[in-house]
Amino acid sequence: MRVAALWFPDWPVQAAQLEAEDVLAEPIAIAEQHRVLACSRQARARGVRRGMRVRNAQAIAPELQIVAANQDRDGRMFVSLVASLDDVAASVEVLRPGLVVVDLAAAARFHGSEDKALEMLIDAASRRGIDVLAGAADEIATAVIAAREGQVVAEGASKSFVAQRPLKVLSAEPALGVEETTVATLSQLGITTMGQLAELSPSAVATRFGAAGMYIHRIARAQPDRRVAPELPGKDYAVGITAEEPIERVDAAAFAARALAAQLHTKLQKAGLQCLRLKVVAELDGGACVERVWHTKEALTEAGMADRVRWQLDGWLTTGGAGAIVSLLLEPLELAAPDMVGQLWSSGATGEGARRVIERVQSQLGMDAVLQPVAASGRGVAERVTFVPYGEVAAETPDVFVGAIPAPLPALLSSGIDHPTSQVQLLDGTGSAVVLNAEILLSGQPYELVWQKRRYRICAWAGPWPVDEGWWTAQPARLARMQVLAEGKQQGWLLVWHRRRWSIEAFYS
Amino acid sequence: MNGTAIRSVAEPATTDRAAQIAQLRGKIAALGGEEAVPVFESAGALLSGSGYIPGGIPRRAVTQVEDSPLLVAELLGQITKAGGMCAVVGWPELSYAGLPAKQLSNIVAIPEPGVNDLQVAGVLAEGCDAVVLRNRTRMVLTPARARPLLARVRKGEAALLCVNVEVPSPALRIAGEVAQIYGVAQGRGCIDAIDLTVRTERKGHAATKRVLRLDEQPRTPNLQVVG
Repeated sequence: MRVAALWFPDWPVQAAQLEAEDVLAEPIAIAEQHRVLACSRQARARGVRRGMRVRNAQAIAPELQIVAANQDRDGRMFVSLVASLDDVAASVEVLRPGLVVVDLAAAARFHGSEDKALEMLIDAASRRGIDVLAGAADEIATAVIAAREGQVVAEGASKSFVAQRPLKVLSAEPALGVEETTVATLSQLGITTMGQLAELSPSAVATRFGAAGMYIHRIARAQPDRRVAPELPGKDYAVGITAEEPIERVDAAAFAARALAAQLHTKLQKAGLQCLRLKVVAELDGGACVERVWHTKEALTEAGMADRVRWQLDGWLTTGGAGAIVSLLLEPLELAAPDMVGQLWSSGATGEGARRVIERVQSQLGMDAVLQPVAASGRGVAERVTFVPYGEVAAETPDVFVGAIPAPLPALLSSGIDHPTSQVQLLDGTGSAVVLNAEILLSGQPYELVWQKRRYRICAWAGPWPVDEGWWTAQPARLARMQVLAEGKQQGWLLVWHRRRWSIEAFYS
Repeated sequence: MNGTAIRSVAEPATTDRAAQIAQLRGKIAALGGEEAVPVFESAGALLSGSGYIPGGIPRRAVTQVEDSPLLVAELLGQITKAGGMCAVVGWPELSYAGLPAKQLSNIVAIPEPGVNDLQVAGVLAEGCDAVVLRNRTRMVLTPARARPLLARVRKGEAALLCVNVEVPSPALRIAGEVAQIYGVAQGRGCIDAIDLTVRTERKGHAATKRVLRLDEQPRTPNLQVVG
């Protein structure tokens, strides 16, 4: 993998100059909280440094022009540059305003050679008054370090290149995401170059510096890291509306919802996408924001989107007591290409209607109140089914466990085996309690079952079947199950021996 | 030549599939009055003996079911097996473990519907095939309280199964009772079959009583006694 990095030195200064259209006089410094965040080359020549107090900087260079830091401006000014880089390379990732990495291998294949591609990238980024340095290497981190010197590291030479750099280059570049304190500790310990760090054994670094240390160590050894990940489209699809008068009535909300949904649907249709997860955000007149995410198994149609937004607004306006809605935003969170096969073959006559009413109930009670049972693995009865909110994709079907309670299974669960109402006593013929010993043997023949104030004569029982699972977790389950029938064989229980007492897990009724 | 049977020209040719299905369903309804959930027509073949609920469970009507979880789970299993969509309102203790994993996707559970359980059941009845409405304690609905629910039930397609909720004049009453549990002796075996006595009482019909056996296919024994 070849990566090119383009570094725009002192980008906050360059952005400030771009915005002011070159009327700022040199030397310039960008300040945040009375400290210098970045300074121009001329200012640096006068002795101004990053992290210096503004007051001290002004003492060194009285004519220093101080501009307040503004991340929004940095980003805004950078966007147009990135757009022109997109014309040259397909895969451009912005690490921070002022630093981009590009998948150079793909660009080189397309344009003929690496040098040509790099030249074209620099050409694309060049503007009047803009300074840019390019570097290339096999990994993202190495390319970023190389870009600070404007070097192209040959293929396979990353390790020797990085080894010669001082450790301080790591803390100079915030986009590398290196922990400052770890770098400081390492230099205190006498490690000054990356090469010295790379010579240490990984286990020695891991045991002393943990994940942060291993991250630096990986950079120092020029190990392959992630690939260039360009930002994928998706955010732009959000549509919003700001009402002229705050929406207080449900019918007005429904009208707004319909219009907004139609707008979003057209937008997505043009892009050839369908929405699977939709976020509805409403800003209230108090300034607060309420939001709700809707998941759907099937792609949302225009009517489906409008319905969801209308139900949501209906809920907020009538029951939520949230107040009037000032503005409304629809953001598609998950998009997918339309699944033609599903559309053609699913008959969906009743499925469609069922989904509609279930989602209606979901809007009333909330996502977590409408559940769908999902088969889970387990040996008992209660643990074999878990629940997920309706519409969410369930995990894969688990295997059937050996030793699971066989069918027919009881259909009524107790309130839980630790619940006081589930506790029962098993008595033998002499009236003493039947317990389970360490060898999973009953201490006597069960004769009577006492549950709350009722007593049942036992005519048959099966088990006990011991279960010792989860011993590797924090909550091991050591239990034994037993089926017990009352006289007449018309009443049955599934009992569990847990924490040295019997309780009902389920009823055969 | 195949495919040249006489086509009925009296009916307008519908291109829309949904419209065509609706048209055919209308014909069925016109022939046999109340339309039953289709699964129960073949229930006899699935269960031992003939169908244990003669005539099936009527759609767009209320069926009163006695508090019998095994029977309700069995009904849910049969309906979902045929592809029907079921909703269960207000029954957190009902276990779905006995149902095949594939059919669970056709079930929606609302264990805690809150105070609006009747309304929730009504909304669900507009789109599902069967809705089970259960209350913790016995609740008798006055005609005035039942009216909005019944109106929604008539509007939709669902069969509403009320457990512990008494609706005035239900179309069908079903009671399930465990008659016998098989397979267990003193410290041996395990439960391998359950007999349920199913009693039905339909308006204008004689009451019926059938026995429904819940069991699994015979399993091959892993251990055999030799000699």
